[in-house]
Amino acid sequence: MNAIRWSWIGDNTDLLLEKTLEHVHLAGLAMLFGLLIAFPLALAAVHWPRMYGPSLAATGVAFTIPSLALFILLIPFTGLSVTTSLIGLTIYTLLILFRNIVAGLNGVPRDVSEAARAMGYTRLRQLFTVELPVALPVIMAGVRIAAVTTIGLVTVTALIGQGGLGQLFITGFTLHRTTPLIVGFVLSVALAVVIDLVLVALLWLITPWRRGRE
Amino acid sequence: MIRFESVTKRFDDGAPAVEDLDLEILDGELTVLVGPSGCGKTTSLRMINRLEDLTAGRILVNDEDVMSQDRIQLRRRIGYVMQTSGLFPHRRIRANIATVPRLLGWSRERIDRRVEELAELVGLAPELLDRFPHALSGGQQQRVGVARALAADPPLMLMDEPFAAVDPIVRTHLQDELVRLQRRLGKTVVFVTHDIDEAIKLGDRIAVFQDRGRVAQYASPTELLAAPANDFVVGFLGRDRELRRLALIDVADAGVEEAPVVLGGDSAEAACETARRHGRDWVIVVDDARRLERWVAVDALTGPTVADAVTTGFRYTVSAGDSLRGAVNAMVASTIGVAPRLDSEGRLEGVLTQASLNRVLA
Repeated sequence: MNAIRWSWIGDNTDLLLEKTLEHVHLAGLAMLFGLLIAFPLALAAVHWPRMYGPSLAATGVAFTIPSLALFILLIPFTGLSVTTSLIGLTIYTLLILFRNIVAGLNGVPRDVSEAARAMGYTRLRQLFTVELPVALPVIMAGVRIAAVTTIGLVTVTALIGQGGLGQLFITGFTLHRTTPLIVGFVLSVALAVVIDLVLVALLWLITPWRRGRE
Repeated sequence: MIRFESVTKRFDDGAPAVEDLDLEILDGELTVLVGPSGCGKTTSLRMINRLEDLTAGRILVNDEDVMSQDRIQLRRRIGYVMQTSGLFPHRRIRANIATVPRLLGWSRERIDRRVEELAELVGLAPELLDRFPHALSGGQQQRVGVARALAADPPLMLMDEPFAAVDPIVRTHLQDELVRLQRRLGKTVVFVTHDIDEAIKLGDRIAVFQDRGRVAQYASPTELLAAPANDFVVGFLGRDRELRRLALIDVADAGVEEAPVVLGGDSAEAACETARRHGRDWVIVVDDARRLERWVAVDALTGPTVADAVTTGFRYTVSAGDSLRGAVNAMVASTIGVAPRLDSEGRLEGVLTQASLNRVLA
């Protein structure tokens, strides 16, 4: 017996493409918001080390909330909407992004920052043209983990009516069909792998100084 | 000119790092701040370009109070070289050197021209310019650090133990080049080190820091070695202070003594007579043009002529431009206690003995 009906795939390419794009869209937005929140938070924690503990604790606690519970908790406020899934997904990216941005910035060699100061960099220019580029590998390591995690997590939001490829799980489940289940699974895993590879390639591209070093 | 007027620096945690420092650093000179760790020399240096802000007093650079200037502008006008090169790892050497000109908004062409000029000035091979810092040796990185500090042609350079982290051979080389550069460019350089040898070698003037920015003595290397101001300076200069002094004196400034000189063809008898006349028990063998060859002990003159005897070579000789330290080295190595001094043609001018040192050291 065939577990997969290949014809179903052929008949539904439009749907699969749409769900994949939706998936990427959700995960991408969550990552964007995650970075927008984690970055200033990390800057503050680097500048005032006293803030690091509490910020880490807060993002850590958020990270431990079971995802389903979080979405259900949000429904009374934001309903079965994109907003609900985005809030949830964004929260899960924060811990990893925050921690890696802080680690990256703190890992900039002291003499490098000191040299920038001594040469007459303004604080902002030093951050964006010296410290961030040098911290990039560590930050990108966090972005990769967060991206892969988020892509997996997007499927859960199918339960609140979003979910990109996660929708295929619901379809498969309600219709007692294995094909949508398997296709949804394979596509979301493939998506995670592809995005991870894209990020690796991107890092390689924007950090020419690290090539041939390791 | 840089003038410290009753400068005090207190960090948050209590005791002052520098207390009531007065110091005048002259234009066009290489001034070394030397002292043990924690003496306040580095803090004093860093207050000049406001990497540290002073707590009390004033620092004037060309009669302008640094505290009343914009610190970003101030730093761009002052070159800075640090112990570890502090190069930006994500930028090619070219861009590293161009740091300050880029901050100042120079045009591309002007920057490119300046970078190549600097590479040549500090002895960096042009092909290194397109590499990243990690591909360079420590010595090369330090050269880049110096080039970066010189990039916008600042009249003043601050150097914080710039050669402390490179190996001794490279360090000697970099020191020689710094002296050459400074003579050529006439920059005002303030150089911090804990190494008294480095201070003596490089400094036009040396400020010996004792503690908390208290200057035990501020003098030229020669004065410092000849007349240390107190026990601290004596201790800091170490037990071979006289040898260090010798390093600063040219052999041309010491007198030479006439040596018993013979030709290879002279008879043994005549050679013995020459030695006796000079009160020596050896003679130096030269050729017709008086170029130095070897020496021979009177006892060894057993054959008919000097050439028949077993002669010994000099392992070291000195000539004008060498230091008396080199002369002492030659004396010790010769076993007859003399250092032959040659002219530029290799002709023997005479010999230096310990007596010739006494005259200049007295």
